Amino acid sequence: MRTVPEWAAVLALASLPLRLLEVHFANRLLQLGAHAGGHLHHLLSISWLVTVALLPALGGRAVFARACAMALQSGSRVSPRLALRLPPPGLAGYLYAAMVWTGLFQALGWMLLPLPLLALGSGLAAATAPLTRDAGTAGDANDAGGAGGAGDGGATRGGGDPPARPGPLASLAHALRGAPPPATCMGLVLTFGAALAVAAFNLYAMVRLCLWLAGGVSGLDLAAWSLVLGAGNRHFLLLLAAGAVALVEPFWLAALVVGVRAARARESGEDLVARFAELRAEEAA
Amino acid sequence: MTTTTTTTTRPADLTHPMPSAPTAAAARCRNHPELPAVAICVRCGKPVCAACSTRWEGMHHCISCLAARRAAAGERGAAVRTLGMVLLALALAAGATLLRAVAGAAIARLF
Repeated sequence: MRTVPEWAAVLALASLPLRLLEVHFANRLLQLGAHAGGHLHHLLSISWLVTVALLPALGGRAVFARACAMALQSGSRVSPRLALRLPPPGLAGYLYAAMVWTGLFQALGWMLLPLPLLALGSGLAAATAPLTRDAGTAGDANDAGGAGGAGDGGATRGGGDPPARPGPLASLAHALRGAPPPATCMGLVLTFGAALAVAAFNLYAMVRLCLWLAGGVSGLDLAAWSLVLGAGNRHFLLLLAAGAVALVEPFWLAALVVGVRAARARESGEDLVARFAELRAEEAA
Repeated sequence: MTTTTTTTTRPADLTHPMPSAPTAAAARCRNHPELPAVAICVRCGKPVCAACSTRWEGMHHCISCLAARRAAAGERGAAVRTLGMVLLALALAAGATLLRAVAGAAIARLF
């Protein structure tokens, strides 16, 4: 995360319209309640806006995952020219897989229990997508600040070998094959679930602290604001949840990219090669 | 020298094995000069022996031209697959949009 802060900002900015529209949609659903069925046309129009906002958000995720994979490989900052040059086949495969997970989210998300699994699948789709396939050329490795000889071709491994014939099933299977072990996945889900709750609580505490400071120090009458930014306001709570997701999302994606890379390194023996090189360097020193 | 004469004077034979005409019989494979040519590559016009010639879509190709055609076909195939995946993703997005509205309306009744 230290080498990709600007890409985390890109991810947050690209996802911002989506988060706000999702909040608007959920709030409108809660407002309509039992009468929502009679306002299907209105809900559908908001739903289309959410879908339109989803596309740049997915683009942001793809760019961030690519930047993470390349930064992991090179150990240095990734140039914008490189990070933004997403290979079309990889991006298309990722878009497809992400849309499958989005559809599943719409169908099953309301049950709450599958939410961690859906979040994991959606994140893995970005982390395992072959988005770094064309980054292995010598020029690219130099631009990325390629660390020693690991520059050329390494970025390819960072993103994973693409499926031989990308297709509807191959793209999904590729994501599953590249996933970290189940125990690691479960650990990540539990950790980030807790992180989400902590982030939401911190955001709430920060807002209340700002209100208290504004009221106590400046002497402003903030009774109305206190109601708006209180736990009783459903809209505010939804915004808090969206803010917490936006805060945690870059860390979640980065952790998945690292997990996928570690799993691949164990499978290919790359970790042993790196350890051997490390030992030799120690011996030489 | 003979091969040059063959490729320039017999354009009609580009898609067929070389007939046993005196000039053709004298032609040698460009890759294996010790072997007689049995066909002319339809793309580059080089005479090639039986080992170097591959018939594809009814026409003879030398090894390098065949590799180039395969690569071009592979690129076209990859582009078509990419486009297909994008279209599929857009169709799924439309489905997810409908599902979001309909399922959302149904679930909102519970709250």
